[in-house]
Amino acid sequence: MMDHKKVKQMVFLAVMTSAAIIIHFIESLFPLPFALPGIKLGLSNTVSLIVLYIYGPVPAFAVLVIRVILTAFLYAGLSGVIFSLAGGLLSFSAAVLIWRLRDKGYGIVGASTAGGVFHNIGQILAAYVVLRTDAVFFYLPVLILSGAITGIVTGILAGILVPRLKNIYGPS
Amino acid sequence: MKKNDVFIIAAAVLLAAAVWLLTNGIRQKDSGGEVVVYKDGEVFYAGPIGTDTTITVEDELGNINVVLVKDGKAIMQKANCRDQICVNTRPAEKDGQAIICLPNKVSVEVRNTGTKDLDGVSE
Repeated sequence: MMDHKKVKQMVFLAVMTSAAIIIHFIESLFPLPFALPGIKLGLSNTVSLIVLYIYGPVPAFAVLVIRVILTAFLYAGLSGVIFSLAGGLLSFSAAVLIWRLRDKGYGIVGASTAGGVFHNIGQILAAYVVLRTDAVFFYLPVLILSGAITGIVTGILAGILVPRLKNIYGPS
Repeated sequence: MKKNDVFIIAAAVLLAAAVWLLTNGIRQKDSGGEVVVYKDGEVFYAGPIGTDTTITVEDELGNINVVLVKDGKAIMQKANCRDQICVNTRPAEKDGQAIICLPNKVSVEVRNTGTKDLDGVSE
């Protein structure tokens, strides 16, 4: 029965990774009006968040890294990778931090909000490294707020999806 | 949504506000533009647009204009002229923008801020 579980998890992670790639692609079709080129809302990080709450940090991290590498090969290019990686890793670290506090009254909406905010902070830091100008920080307040708002919305969405997906794909 | 999530959302909003205040401070210091106030065609005052100040222009006829420089913008705060057009003029913050009070012969000009009001000028 061990093999059956492993296959189930593998299929789930594969479906989640492809979902993340599709979301990332759709997101790249709608550039933000106020942001720098390459900066995105980070909706695909919601997928990592869902995996985090179902299977824990290690599989979620794998989904994130595979998504970033595959989108780089498919369409983002190398400069896009810097932005997605900086945003993705910082966002993931923040989400894991809140996930660890899940028994202390912090839920998935909190993790998603922290993730959204740090996703955009990470992207601004990447933009600073690439462009070398302080001007990028003027975007930061707007991006923190928009990260929080998208984080709340996707967090509520993830909160609805996680129990349902857990029933079908979850461990045990 | 669990109850402590509210703290995270509040922290995010506070962080945005703090960063906004911080970057706003940098913007004001970096602005190299200046405000020039003319009275009867002569320079009455010239100073950086980044420094908040109030300039009062008064003459022996009793004409009075008060120019306020704040947040990188110049406005005509008060004037005792008849038409009050200058008081109702939009704030001047970009290169070449001006506020003119014709009855009192006072004009306020902004220059060298690096942000242009016009797309280009042929000379």
